Amino acid sequence: MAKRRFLKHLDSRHALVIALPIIFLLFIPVLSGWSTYIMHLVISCLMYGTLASAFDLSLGYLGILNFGFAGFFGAGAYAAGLASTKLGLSPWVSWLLGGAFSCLLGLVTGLLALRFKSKLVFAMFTWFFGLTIQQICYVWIDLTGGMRGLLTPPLPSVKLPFFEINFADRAIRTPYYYTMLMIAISTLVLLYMIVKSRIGITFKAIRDDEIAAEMLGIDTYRAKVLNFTISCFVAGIIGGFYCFYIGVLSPDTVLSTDLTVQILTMSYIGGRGTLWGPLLGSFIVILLLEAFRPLIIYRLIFYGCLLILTMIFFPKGISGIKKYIWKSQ
Amino acid sequence: MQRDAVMLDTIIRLLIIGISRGTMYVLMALGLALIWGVNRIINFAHSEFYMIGAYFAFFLVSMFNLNPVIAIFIVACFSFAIGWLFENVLIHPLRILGGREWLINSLVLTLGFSMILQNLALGFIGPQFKGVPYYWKGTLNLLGMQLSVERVFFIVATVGAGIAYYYFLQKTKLGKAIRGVADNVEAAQASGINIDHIYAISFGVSAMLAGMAGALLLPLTTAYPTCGVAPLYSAFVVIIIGGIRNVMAPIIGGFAMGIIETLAVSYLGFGWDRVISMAIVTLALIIKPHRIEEERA
Repeated sequence: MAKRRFLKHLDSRHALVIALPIIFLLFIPVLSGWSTYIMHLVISCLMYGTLASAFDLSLGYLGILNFGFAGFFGAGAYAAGLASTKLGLSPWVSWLLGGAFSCLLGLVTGLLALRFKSKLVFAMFTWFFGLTIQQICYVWIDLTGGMRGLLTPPLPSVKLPFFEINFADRAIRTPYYYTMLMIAISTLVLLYMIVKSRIGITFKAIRDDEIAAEMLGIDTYRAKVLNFTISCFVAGIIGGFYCFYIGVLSPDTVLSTDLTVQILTMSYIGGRGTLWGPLLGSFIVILLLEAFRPLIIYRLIFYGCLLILTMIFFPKGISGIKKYIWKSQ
Repeated sequence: MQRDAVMLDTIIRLLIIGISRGTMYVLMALGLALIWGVNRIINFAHSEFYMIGAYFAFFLVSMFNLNPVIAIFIVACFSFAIGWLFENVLIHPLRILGGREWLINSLVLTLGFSMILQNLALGFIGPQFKGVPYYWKGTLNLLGMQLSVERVFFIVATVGAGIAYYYFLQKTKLGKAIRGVADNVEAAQASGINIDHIYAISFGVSAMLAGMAGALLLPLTTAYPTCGVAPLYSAFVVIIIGGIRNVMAPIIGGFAMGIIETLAVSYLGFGWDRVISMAIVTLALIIKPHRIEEERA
């Protein structure tokens, strides 16, 4: 039933708007002449964009700010990395384990923190949680390698009857590119199905008026925990991908609050509560920053100014502009 | 027998380090609780007021050779002005234009402001630790213990600031107006209080406390772009556990926090202090989940 509802929203114009970027993204490796630089850039955009969409599932559809998002992303990455290096499991299995670990963490944190009625207290609690995961990775040097970082193997190559997908050589980005594209598309489809389904409508009802939703007999606590857990699960899966793609994890990069802030900026600039907005936001932010690479020290100043300007003048982000261009919805 | 004496000595020494570390949490937590209670926002930029205070005190003391007490006084006035401006220029428009979700937006805005300031400091002043070795040399002999004059000064100054702040809130007309706004905005407005004015003033007072903390503890913590983040984190823990209604809660909680963290660092190792404080927050959350909201109501 969820599927039919999902398809019902998909008229021909929408289909075109969705299909064109996907086709474009499919051909980017060819168009760029198999350039590893461009592929890496687009992989980053997709990765952050998918993270931002998952983040938006809680921020835009439920109005709860998961300020420890990087913690869940990093926890998934570390769990996947540790399972493959310390336990010697296959990277594919460890990847799933990473996702499951983040999902579990999200469930526990959600059960605890969503008992707060105040959204601000919730945001702070998740922030503490993320910082604690980071701190544990700093101080538990025997397990995580601390500041030196954790080296992780690449994904193993897959042998198909006619050809071999070469994951083992990270310098060849193409297999990773298509893997990331697949994750991004399937995640967004999954998130859309959730959002358009009955439970998605429940989320919006809670966001708009929690007390009214409660009076209608909605178990708001359960819906919130579910939403939070899904969002954390996606973060963990992408963390697992990051772990095998980049090859080195350090608490400074995957677990820092800066990462959460980046994702937050993308969601705000793209527009909350749309799912496609954050993805677009990530492309805009990352490509803009790449264009101004020499000013790398001032990168976060740029983020800060963007955030403040968006916040005061365009609280709806880019998705607010959409209605001037495209009158539907 | 002698081992006992040595251990006692160590414990007392740790306690004193913990209390002087607690002074910064007390001042930070008081300011945070004020903004949370009156303006109803969580101020992530609070750490930056601390940083500004520390840098400003550094420049005053090391370049102009000012007396530390005068320097701290100047820093306090300056921080008040910055907090007042911040509220008027950024938070005020957001409150007017922000609509229903302005609380979450304000959190993100203070975050953006904090990032800008941290990175401006990083870009223009650089990542080096700027500090003065001491404000005053010398030790004080108290009941057979050697205490450095500075640490005694920190503690006395913090307690003094706490008492002055308490007096300000309880007895002065402005303080009563601030408490009125914290209790009930509509009632306060109806009784003729200019709430915009009160919001700006309380932001300024809060920034003043943070700036004072930064200036006061400059010899201990030095000034660097992210020097305010750790105190902010612990101050958050203090007010989550202690609540925001009672002025005494941040004071007692802040000192307790300093002592607990010092003990954690010395017995478990560097870095475990945060893990311990997180465990405390989680426990507080499990035992009394609605404490802070009851007070916030």
